Amino acid sequence: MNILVVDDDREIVESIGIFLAGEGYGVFKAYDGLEALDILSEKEIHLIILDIMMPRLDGIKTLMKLREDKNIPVILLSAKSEDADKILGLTAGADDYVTKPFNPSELVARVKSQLRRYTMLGSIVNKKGEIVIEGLYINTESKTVKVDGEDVRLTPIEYKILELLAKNRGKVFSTEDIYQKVWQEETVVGDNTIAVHVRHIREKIEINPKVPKYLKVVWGIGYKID
Amino acid sequence: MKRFLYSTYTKFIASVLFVVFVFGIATIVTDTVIEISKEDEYIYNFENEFLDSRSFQHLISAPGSVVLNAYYASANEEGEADITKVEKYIENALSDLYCNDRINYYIKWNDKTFSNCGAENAEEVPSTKIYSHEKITPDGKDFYEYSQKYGGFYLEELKQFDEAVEIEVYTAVKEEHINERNIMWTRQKDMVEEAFTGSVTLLLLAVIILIYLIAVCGKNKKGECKRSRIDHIWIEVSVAFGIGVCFLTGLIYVMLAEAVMYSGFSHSVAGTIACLLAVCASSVFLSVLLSITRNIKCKSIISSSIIAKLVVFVWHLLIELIRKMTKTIVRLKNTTVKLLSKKTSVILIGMLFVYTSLVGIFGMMTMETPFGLILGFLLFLAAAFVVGLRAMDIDEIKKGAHKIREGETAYKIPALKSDDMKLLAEDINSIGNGLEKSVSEKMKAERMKTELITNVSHDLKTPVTSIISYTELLSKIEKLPEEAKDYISVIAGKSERLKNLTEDLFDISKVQSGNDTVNLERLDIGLLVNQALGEYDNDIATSGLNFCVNVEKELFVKADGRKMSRVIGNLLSNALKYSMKNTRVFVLAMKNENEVFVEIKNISSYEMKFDPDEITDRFVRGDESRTQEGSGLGLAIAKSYTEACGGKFEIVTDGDLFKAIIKFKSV
Repeated sequence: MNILVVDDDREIVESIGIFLAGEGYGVFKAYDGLEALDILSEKEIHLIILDIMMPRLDGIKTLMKLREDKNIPVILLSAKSEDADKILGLTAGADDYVTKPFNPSELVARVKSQLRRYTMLGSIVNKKGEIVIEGLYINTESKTVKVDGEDVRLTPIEYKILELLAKNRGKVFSTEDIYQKVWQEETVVGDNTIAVHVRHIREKIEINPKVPKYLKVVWGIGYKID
Repeated sequence: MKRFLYSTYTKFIASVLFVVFVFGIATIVTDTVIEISKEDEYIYNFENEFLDSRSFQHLISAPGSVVLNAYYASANEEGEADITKVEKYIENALSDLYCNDRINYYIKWNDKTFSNCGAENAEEVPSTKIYSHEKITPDGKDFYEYSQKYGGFYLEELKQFDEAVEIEVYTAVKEEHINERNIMWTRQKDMVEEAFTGSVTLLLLAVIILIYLIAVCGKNKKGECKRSRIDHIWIEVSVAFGIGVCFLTGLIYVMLAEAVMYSGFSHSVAGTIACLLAVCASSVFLSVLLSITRNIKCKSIISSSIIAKLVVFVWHLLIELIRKMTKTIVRLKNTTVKLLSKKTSVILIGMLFVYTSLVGIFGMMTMETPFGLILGFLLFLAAAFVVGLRAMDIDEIKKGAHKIREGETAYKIPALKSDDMKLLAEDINSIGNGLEKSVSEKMKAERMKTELITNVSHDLKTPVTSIISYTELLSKIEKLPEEAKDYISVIAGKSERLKNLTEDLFDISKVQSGNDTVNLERLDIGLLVNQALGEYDNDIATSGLNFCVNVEKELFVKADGRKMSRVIGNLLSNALKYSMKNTRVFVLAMKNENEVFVEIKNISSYEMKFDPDEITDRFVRGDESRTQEGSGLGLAIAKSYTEACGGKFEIVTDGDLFKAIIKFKSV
């Protein structure tokens, strides 16, 4: 597996390179967008880690250029943490977004996740009783959950909550809703049971539970899976 | 029933019935009039019997009136009658009397007697039934004898002409005439009474229908207001039309009557025309009346009446005029009072003095005051003009100063009329210029500050990224000496703190410079507190602290969920960090009348020496925590975020008790 790391800060490229090489990946390095495009046209690359703020050709433009003929996973790297920047990056065709300063192990985990999904793509056939949301796979018959192809062990309650939210993608469930649907009971006043369960689910299915990809908190309203 | 009463068909049928009844009345009246006009004479006058009738009175008093008339006709200016003339008049008048064939009479006047039946005295008047007998004697004794109420009342007057008159009048109506008249009287009475009963009945019916129509018109069965198309015509127009039609009908009636009486116009044709006219007039009357009623019911009487509109319009105009005048007078008074200072008042008093003197001088010289008055008035006008100019200038300056104060710093006061005011205006304009300049500089500085924050934060983040990465790489090397591993873990901890610090610094700068977007939405802050507690569940479980949570249901506020989660998160993590071991932490969320509040209370593990008001400022922390992890911006961010969401944030300390209170308006 070959990974291309692009950033104008050489030390950052170097350190990411070391981490990835340690995981057994082939690493290619570029220091601006144009160099990156050159390497892409010559070598077989399976994933790109791309910084946004770069001289000559910035990350967003590079991303748009490479998306013309390639569908490999792209993880954007940026010091900009604004929501607007994230949305811009994701709509331009990025698969993930990591803000600086980041934790190297988290980045490696994200790379692994993307590559698993990328290589698995096509092998998963969407059958009846299966819910697939990007890397999240739920089999409602065998009641099993996989994230990026790896099994996740959930308690029955956790599974019920996850299935409820996954079956209704985009819908926000209040704690009352979840109580009624999962426990078939009214809410107990001032209870944070649901919040704790959700937290546990996130710890099991998310790479970084504080920045969830699947199970999101809608503060003061409820929970949802986009 | 209601449906039936309010049905359009019922209303229509009622209207037709009304017209039919009016037509009926017209027909009955016309027929009766035609019938009666065919008789020789109309003698029925609503008395009890013929003998009470005026017709009978005329007969019985005819000879007496002849005598009296004779006196009147012959009297000279002094009121003295020539006896021979009187005699002659009586003789002529009696021979021409219209009712000679119906009555017998005997008149004795002084020595002369008149009779149409050769009677020599009263007893000789032939077979009669009804009579009147009156007698005046020279000695002043009057004698009346008559069988009816009316009769000889003429003779008494004669004494003013001739005091010595001796007169006796005896009148009798022939019996066959009375019989014949009695029959005719009864016939006419029957006719009139029949017509009267008929018309009154029909009239009553018509009135009932009219009341019904007035009651139901303009409303449908649901009680909704409904106007028909003709109601949109100006009321005055329809009323004028109605009056016009009625007036025209009356006029045609009069013309018809004249035509029938004098030109021999056919009775029946005239009757038909009259009846048809009655139909027309009653239809028009009904339409107009119902239209007005509908307009009154639908409260559109004013809007569909020109006069009412005009009155309302004039009334508003008057009010507006009075309002404006009052305003102008007040304004004029205010400015004038202010301006009657120094220079202007000196001018005015001077002019008043000149005016008075001039009036005095001209008054003495010519005794003609108008010239002086006019001159004085002109002088006053001139003074008022000067004052007015200044007042206008002052107004301009006031307006300009106000606009500049309101933030329109680029506003310039336009050129003024008076010189001293011009100077003031220029000064204000230049202050405005200065303000404009400083405001734009401030805005530029603010923009630069924001850019600086963004750039600095970027420039900080990049090296921190490298530090974190390389520290982690170092930590993976196993053959390093133990000290080196300790040093590395210190670097790792500090770089983590540096990372948090950079992020927090960026966040607080953004919100405090107003460059943050706040998405306010209705959310349950109680739920949010529970969610945040859920996020910190592991930390709480391992903290050794006892969390007492009391969160009420449905605490709805308008806030930004992500920002408030950060606020609650910061407060919880503070409580976790700085609480004394094995104490309780209280988390409360409840509401009173119109406020929702969240309270987080804990016992501090160190002595809090800080000022609760300053702790929320940037970088201020309790001394104890300075060496621990965290940026020291937690409370500052909590306060700024809460305030950005429109809430209140307060820190209270009491000994070792630390209390954070968040308040929101309940929605």
